[in-house]
Amino acid sequence: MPQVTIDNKSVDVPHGTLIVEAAKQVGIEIPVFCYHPKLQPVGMCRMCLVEVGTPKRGKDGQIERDANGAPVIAWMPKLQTACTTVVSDGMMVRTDTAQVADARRAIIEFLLTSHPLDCPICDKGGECPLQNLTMAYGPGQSRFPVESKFHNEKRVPLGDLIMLDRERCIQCARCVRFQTEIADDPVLGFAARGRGLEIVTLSDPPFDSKFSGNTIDTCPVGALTSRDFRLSARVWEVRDYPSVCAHCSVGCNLWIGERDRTIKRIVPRENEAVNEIWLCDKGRFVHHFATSSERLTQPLIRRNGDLQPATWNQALDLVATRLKEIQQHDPNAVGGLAGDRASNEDLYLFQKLFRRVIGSNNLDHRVGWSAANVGADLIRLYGAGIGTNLGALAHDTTALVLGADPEEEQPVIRLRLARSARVFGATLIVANGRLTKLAKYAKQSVVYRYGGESAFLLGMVRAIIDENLENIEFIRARVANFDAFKTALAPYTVERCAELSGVNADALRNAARAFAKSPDALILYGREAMFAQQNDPAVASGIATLLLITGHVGRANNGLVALYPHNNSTGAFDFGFLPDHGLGRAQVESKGLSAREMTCGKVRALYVMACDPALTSDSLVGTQQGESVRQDGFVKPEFLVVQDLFLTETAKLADVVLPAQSFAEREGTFTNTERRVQLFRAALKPVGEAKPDWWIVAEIGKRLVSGSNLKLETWDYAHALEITEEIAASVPLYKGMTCAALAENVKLPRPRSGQGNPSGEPAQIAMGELENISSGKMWASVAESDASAKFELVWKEPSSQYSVVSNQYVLAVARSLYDGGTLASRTKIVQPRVPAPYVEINSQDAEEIGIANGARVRVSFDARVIQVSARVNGHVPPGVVLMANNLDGTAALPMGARVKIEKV
Amino acid sequence: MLSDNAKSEIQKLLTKYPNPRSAVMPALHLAQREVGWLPDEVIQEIADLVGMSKTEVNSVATFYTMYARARPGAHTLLFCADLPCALRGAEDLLARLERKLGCRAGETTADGKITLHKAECLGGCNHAPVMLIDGVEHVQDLTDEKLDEIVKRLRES
Ligand code: SF4
Ligand code: SF4
Ligand code: FES
Repeated sequence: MPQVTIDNKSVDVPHGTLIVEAAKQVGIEIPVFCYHPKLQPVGMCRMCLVEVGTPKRGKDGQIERDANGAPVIAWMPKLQTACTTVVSDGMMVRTDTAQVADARRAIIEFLLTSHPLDCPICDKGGECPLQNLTMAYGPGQSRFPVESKFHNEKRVPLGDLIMLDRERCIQCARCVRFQTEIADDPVLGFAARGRGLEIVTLSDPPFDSKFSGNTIDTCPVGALTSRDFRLSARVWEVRDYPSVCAHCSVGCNLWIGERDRTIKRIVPRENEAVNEIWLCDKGRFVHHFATSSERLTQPLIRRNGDLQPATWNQALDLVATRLKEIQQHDPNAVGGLAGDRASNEDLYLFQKLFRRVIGSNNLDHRVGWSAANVGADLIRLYGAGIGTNLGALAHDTTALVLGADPEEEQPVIRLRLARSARVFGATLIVANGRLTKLAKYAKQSVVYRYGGESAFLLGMVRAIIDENLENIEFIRARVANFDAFKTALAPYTVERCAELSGVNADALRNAARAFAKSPDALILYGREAMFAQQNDPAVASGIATLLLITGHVGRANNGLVALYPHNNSTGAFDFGFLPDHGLGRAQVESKGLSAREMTCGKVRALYVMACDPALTSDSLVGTQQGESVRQDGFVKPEFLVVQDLFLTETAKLADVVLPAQSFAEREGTFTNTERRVQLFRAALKPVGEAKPDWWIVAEIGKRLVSGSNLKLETWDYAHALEITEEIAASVPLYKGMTCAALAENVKLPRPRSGQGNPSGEPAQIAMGELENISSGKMWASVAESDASAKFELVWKEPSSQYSVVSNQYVLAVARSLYDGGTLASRTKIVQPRVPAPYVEINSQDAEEIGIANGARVRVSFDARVIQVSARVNGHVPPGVVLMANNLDGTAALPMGARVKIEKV
Repeated sequence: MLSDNAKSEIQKLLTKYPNPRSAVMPALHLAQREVGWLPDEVIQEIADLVGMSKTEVNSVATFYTMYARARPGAHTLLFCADLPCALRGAEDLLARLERKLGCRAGETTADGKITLHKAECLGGCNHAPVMLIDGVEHVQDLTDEKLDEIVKRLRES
């Protein structure tokens, strides 16, 4: 390791370290503007100039030494940029000389000749590197008269979310480089040059990227600001509370910036293992629902047909009395539906209420998406090893991404996987029935026929066995039934699987080799694969077999990741919100009713927490064994309790409505898609009389157990974190995940540049100073926690479902990141990003139907007809059409249905 | 907007570089020769052909001054703004020319006939001040009268 001496402090650093990074290690901060540790160095701003020297060598190649034996240093005649100069052994650096101070002063003075210095009205003021570095290194006075300042437009909208102030831009290209290198949406660029240079976007819509908000954070000045936050508060008046994103299952860490009891802004909270320092625009901007004026503020009870305000005691007493009545008659006549947005504490208590007090297993969370309990067992057994880091998979790792579209469903995972592939050399195999954005980064992109998922997986398994690439040692030690499996597989040659899946046999073999030979390998599977599994159990067994015969389980960067839809879908599985699984994903003896059964009149009392079954179940909800399953609307049971933020469609039908608190008003834990349990804190005061979900459930529990022989104190909780403790003590998967253990992760808020930290001391930390601070805690899968566990291979016959019928198309169902749903519709500035309903169709098919891109078409299946506009492109194969099911009028589309398309 | 011929020429250019993006500059030149300038549609077409975003192609096209992102007039005047010409009164002459044309350097006359640009040394310092018309016609030892004549001629052409 080369040794470098900076201002007389020596340090050994790895090869390739830049001077600016080496300096941090000895506690010296070299000021930077264009340099950013996540971006390639470019040396554009010259702020980081330092004196650099290297040992002088004689003709013989030996280092020359002075009288004292110290090496003679050859100082470079000009200052060097610390952000682009790589250290070498024996290098000397001086950052504290007059020459360096002069250079810094000159650069700042130069930057300020065309900078307005309107800090008093600038959002960045108070956390601005330019402001801080000017104070630290700039000249106290300018030699240029104010009138000679260069002026430019101050309000240039770059799309709906970001505002550019051209005067403030210092042309560092951090924003351009973020969009190109990290987000890989190169929609920001420089135009012109010199003083005329400006940041422009020519995409349609402007600044067309799901990650645009990150440019606000990386811009070292106030040139790029949030159109949502803009001019609404000074950053030092905003108090930051650590939280976790309430939207998708990535579980990005964030700070909720609160002032005057509202959320002023959301910014990323660094977590190298989850979101690094990024957020997607949904996570950043879609928070207005929490403070919406439409929030429920008090309990409501139906009296004479109308929902009328009531006190908490009235409402809770009524709920307890009615539930008790019905339960005493028949516990199985009571059902519970909980959304996978509720926290672990809420879910845990809710299931405890049902399983321990009411005595019913009628629990489900799958409202609005009808995939079966895909993965409850798979993930428990083979979930990716602790320490898996999707953003830093390297050349020794292969990731097979199956039936997923992370760009729309888990954006930050798309960003991180793409980076793993592009920057660190991981091998991505992206397999789906269509081309998704992630496919662009795949070494192998596979488009199988929808319904051919299992044949694709078995084809890979077969190719591995044919070429003797299986992990014999692992199989011998841990896998049972291998020989029987091979026998059953015999008729499925690679060629036959190729034919069944519609994938070329060589592509199957290549994918198999990459997966089997890779030292580490993961499978990530998404919603489309989950739907496939619902029709074809061979998908799950295929996934398990592929992992087992290659031994890719039980270690970091090996195993399985289920890409679920919501922030706590994993928690919903963990706490047994499935009719056939109980607490800790254990199989239950007596199966309960499913969500679909509970909403079609099979229960007398239904308790609905944080979901809206009446909205999503009013028509087709899915396919089962290839047949469309029709559901005729939501049937209101005799007694309906709804607990939510808003008066949802279901709440409008309810007998009692209980106002719950949003994620921003309370604390708790969420478990992300990798099974990472993360703590979040309250930022806002409650809205009206709203209460946290766990509190409401506990109050009902208390009332139900009083007078019974069940103990009362088990329902006395002063705080959500007491429940977290109970979970840590009683739920095996969550063993040891005590508040203290989880809180370690959030107790160290990252001071951001120039921002005060919670202890009140101002922090002067350049944006470059990033460390790993929090990572949450993943629970261990069986493969990891139990080294002696044996796994059995299960043979399931593949059953390809979706055959193509002429004049009909197979409907694939996608989701759009932005939708008009309960949460997103309350953030106005993202509304223009919500696409109009569309159907994607292959150009070949479009030609046959006689339609062009943008044409209106009628999509019909069974009795349902939807008019949408056509997007003609090469993303879907012939015979398949794609629609998003969360847009206006497209709820509950049945994946795999056969549809007709006609020109309007 | 680009002809099929131009498109296939650009396709050929792509094969000449290890990274097809590198063909963006010759592709822009080719397009400009054909269309006369580089309107938005052409930028988009080139972006699609070379596999860059429209914004990125625009960055290249606006960085180099010899790509025209605005529709130029029928004639282009390059007026030397370098030292030798300035010593021989070019600054004053340029101001007069701007007045005659009714537009500033970098702009096009209202009738769309003439675009005026400042230029660096045009290589005729011994006959300063110098101006280049339409890239081919060098006029030397400029005077106010000569400018009148030229403007009149170009306006009428
Ligand atoms: S807008 Fe900000 S990040 Fe982008 S170049 Fe200007 S100063 Fe840098
Ligand atoms: S990727 Fe998901 S978790 Fe992260 S900010 Fe976006 S919506 Fe939130
Ligand atoms: S040149 Fe080094 S930080 Fe900009």
